[in-house]
Amino acid sequence: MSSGDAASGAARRLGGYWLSIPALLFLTVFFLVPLLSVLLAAVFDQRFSSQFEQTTRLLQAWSGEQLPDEETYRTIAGELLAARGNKTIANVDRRLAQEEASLQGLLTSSARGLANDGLPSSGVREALIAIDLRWQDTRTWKVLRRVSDDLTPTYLLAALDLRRNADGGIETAPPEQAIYVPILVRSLVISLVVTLATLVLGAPVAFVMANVRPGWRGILFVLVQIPFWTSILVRLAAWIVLLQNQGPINQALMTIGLIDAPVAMMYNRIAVYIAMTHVQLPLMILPIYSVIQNIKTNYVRAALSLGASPLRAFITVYLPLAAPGIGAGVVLVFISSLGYYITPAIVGGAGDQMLSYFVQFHLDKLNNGLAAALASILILSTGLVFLGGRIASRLGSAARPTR
Amino acid sequence: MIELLLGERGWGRRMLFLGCALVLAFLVLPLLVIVPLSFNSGSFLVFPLEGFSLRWYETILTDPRWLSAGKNSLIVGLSATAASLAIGVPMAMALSFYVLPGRAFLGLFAGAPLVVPPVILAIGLFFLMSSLQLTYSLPGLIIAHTVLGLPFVVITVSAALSGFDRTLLKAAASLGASPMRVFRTVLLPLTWPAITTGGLLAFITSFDEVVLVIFLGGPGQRTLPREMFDSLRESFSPSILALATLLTLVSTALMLISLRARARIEGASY
Repeated sequence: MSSGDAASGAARRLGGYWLSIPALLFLTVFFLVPLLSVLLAAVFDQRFSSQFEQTTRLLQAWSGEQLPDEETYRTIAGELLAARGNKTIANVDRRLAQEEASLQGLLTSSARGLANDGLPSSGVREALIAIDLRWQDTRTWKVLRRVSDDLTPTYLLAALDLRRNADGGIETAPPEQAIYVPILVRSLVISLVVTLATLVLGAPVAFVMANVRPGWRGILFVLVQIPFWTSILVRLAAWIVLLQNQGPINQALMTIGLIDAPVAMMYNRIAVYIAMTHVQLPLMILPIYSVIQNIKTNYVRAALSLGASPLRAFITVYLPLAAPGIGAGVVLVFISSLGYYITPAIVGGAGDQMLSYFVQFHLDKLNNGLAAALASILILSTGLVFLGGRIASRLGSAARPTR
Repeated sequence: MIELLLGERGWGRRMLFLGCALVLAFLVLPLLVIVPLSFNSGSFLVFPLEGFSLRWYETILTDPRWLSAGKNSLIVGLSATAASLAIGVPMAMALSFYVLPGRAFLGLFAGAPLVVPPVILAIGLFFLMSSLQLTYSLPGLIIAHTVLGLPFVVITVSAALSGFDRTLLKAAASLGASPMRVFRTVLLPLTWPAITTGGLLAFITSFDEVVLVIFLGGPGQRTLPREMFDSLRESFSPSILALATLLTLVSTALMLISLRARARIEGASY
């Protein structure tokens, strides 16, 4: 290396950063920030404090022992009317109902009552209690004080089927309302089944692909890549045609007499498993292939010449060498399965929808907090699986003898 | 290897090849079932076929709803590809030509959008675009698809560039070529196949993308996948299969171009 090179080294390093700055800026603003904003939205909600600023200040100073003073009642009455005026009250009411279902509609109806009767010059407490009895309950005020905090665990708790009771203690939701943990479990089960199915189906293909003549390898490679490039919706359309009651699979099974009546294979778990396995299969085959194509026959040959049976050589020599590829495929398929939305939405039934579906469902219903909390659970599970995969591969490569 | 483990002939070997053939059939045959049905004259999605007809293709190619969706898909896909290339190729060069501290981290960062569940990206971008007033707009959708296309460009191009012989650039520069001219006459022709592949992957990703458009697209930004998603859920008709056949043709063509480019990357002697 000449001295001129060394001198310009620093400048060149800077030049390198310059080239990547547009992409890095872009990724920061449109990838990192959105990701963090999901986590933030799961625990942060300003709907109450931004509309009821004065009330929030009074509530934060309130002892909580008995009903607040007349000043607090007067302040919230004024802010209720203001929130009714700028039409934000329904949104704040929704926030309140998410915190405590028994307080549903309290703000909207009270504001309506105040607007009809007019704000009295004294005795606002009695006026509000006359409109809605819930105003004379200390617990109502305790919930309001909780809602006035911008930082809230409510959504994350709800996403785990937990909630706070009026006194602030954490309790489990009643069984008929505990739906999100079963959905998380369901998502994990579906991902696991699909991962195993793609492994069982994909590994032999990768093995053959890595060990045939180049001509055949090219053909196999194209066949594996075709679905990879085809729109997921095209593939799902094909499965709808194939799996429907009058579809070719049912027709064929009836023709050969295996079944008498069509078997329902659409809009249920079977359809989800089949379609997802089909979509994810290339994702399992390609990582395994890329690792095992480099395994040299010499190692296996050596094991065989030392007297190992082919099965033993396969298990003790070949599989450990293939493990990184298998691990990569498993983690890749599991992680991407966990976030599936389109496939279950189209070929699955009501009981087959996964976490992502409910993220969209709640966002659609303007439950941003709960949607973000469910999304955070999804991020967390994905991250854990990814980390687990990294640790396993680290341990695996440490245990493997050095070449 | 197969011979070593399973013998020259025999059951093991036969079972392996049979199993492999069955899996490949499972992978590819379902895609073929839609083709004959798309030419069927009947309105039902069942075999046997009633007769040959192009009516479903006519429906698709004359329906303003599908035409506008196709137009939106092209606008978003081409713009997102152009944007991904514009910022992705320089980053790929930075990653492969310079010894940057934190290079591994930068590579991981650039690839991360591929690992994050699309719904997460969609809801996060929905929050961000809401505050930027870009929800239900084409620019918002283009930006979102660029996030997904960028990793493909960075990964493909930096992988191809890592084998690039930099003395070629020095030679050109020492002969008096300006940096721009070096880029245009030496670097670009040699990295063109990788750029093509990255661009094709970015395009097909946008062209097939469903989740982000569901969250971020309004009635005015309905793309082909968005329309198709609704049709598959609500009113499945053979015209969907005609569209599916056309889309498969497009993606197969793009795949073949990328395979050719790939062969050129591997065969190129830098």
